[in-house]
Amino acid sequence: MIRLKAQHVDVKFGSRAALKNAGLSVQAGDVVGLIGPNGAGKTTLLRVCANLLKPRSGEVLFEDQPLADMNARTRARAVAFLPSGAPCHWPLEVYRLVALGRHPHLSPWENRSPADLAAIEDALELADAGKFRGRAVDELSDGERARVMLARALAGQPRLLLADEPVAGLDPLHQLKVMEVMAALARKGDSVVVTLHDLALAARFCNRIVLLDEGHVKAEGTPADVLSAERLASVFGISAVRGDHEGLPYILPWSAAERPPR
Amino acid sequence: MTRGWKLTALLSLVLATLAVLSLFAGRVAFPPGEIARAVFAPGDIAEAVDIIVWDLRMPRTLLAILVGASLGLAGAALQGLLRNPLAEPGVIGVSTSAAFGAVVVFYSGLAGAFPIALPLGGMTGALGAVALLILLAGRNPGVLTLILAGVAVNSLGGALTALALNLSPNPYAAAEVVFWLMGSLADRSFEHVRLAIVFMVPGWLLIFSARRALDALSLGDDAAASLGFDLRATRWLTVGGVALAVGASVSVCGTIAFVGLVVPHVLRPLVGFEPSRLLPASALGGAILLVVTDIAVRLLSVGIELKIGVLTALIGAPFFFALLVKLRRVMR
Repeated sequence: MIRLKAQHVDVKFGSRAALKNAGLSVQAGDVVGLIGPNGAGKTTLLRVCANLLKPRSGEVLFEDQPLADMNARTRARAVAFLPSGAPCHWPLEVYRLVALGRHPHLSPWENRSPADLAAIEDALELADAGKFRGRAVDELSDGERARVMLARALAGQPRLLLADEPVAGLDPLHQLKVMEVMAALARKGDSVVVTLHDLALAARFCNRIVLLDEGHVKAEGTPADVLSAERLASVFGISAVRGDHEGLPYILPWSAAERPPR
Repeated sequence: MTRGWKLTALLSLVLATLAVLSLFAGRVAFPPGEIARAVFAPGDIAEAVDIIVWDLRMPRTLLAILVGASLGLAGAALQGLLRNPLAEPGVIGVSTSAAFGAVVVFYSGLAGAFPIALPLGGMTGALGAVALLILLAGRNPGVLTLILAGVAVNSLGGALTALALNLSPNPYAAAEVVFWLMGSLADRSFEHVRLAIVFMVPGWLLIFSARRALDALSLGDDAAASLGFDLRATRWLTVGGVALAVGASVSVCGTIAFVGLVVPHVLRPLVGFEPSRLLPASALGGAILLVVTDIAVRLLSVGIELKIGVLTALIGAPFFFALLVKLRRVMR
């Protein structure tokens, strides 16, 4: 089943085109990695897919239905958006912050049901954030905070998780753990789109990769197809060491490429 | 949940006690029995006690509760909406505009002609401020645009009020307006209470209907929108609710500063910093603060009436300094 399909998406900020005829397609069970240099349009495309940004043209379909036409609460239950930088304006208690993720399942004056509480517990456990439950979010380290925010997004039990740089600032163990959570969601039949700067994680955990450069989709496909040496040189301006381990490709950015990017 | 109820119950109890106490506070002292009889068996008591309790002290206490609750609630809602602990009803220009509306009524002489004119003028000013905000900030403003538009509306309201004072026909008229602007609960009747309630209750309901969206806004605009909240609706529900509640407060009592700033700030840690739980707590806290201040005003006013707005500002300004010093350390 096609979970999300965005096509011919154009976005302009002032006179600068942020996305030009961009798109992506996400199947049930996919972990799609959205990669590209700074300013390539990754976050912009992710926000379009979350219906947070209305493109100038193009369409976004969620399970064959126009995303923008969906009822706001139905959409919020189906699609979760995890912003980068883990913003939280007040030092809320972790449990209560994660519980905010249940809002799409509550009508305006309704209290949390046992099912809601169970979903919150599952999310805390899945994101390995349960042990912070009673702490204020401003007392946590960046990595701990990122996991709490992931738990918040998971608490709504979305069928599609859109995560903007969820591993930024995390230690290696928790980078792997966060990516494993994404993989676990995909195994359940849910879908994930994740923007990443770490090509090694992208190659290791994503079954599909979308490479963006200056608002264009440069390539889309399996990690092996997309992360070719030529593309790494032309888009990122790097050369990388690559190989196979336990049957999976790995990639290690090694040096600036001979030929600088345009 | 339980923690929240405990705080609400405690604040309600304190408020009820203070409200009863405030019936005893005033220039004329009565034995408690007399007051109780005046409250529960009006008719069968000396006329003087009856008048003082029912016509003077009761409406004053009720107004202190209503206005305090409105200011506390409005402050909490705006701090949640703008995600800024320094926000208060003044920042969106509603208080100044309501005051200007009332001043116009003073000058036109309508205030003397029929009593309802003053609150109506104030409400017109408050709602005019919202209309101007929408015009200036657009229908879907960001937080910063909203604050900047609020500053602009605020200065316009202030300038127009100053102009009215400047052009006042005689010093006596100017003095009357200046005193009114300082904020006072003295000599208000049940008529004022009724007028205030009519606008305040819808305002409170608008604010409470946005409470969960205010919680979600803690996570930023994008996260809140992705949780299914309509941010544009949230902004205008909150601003509209604040305009109704604060506009009604200013209309019947003049401008009372700092309640909307201080109360939410003090109570926020007690509700785990959650904007939704801060709303009822702040409403109760604002009512408590204003009833206490009004008791103080009654006890301290010997000869010249001490204006309640002056007293809240005197308490509030040093608190604001302390708040800034603390924030300087905490924020970046």
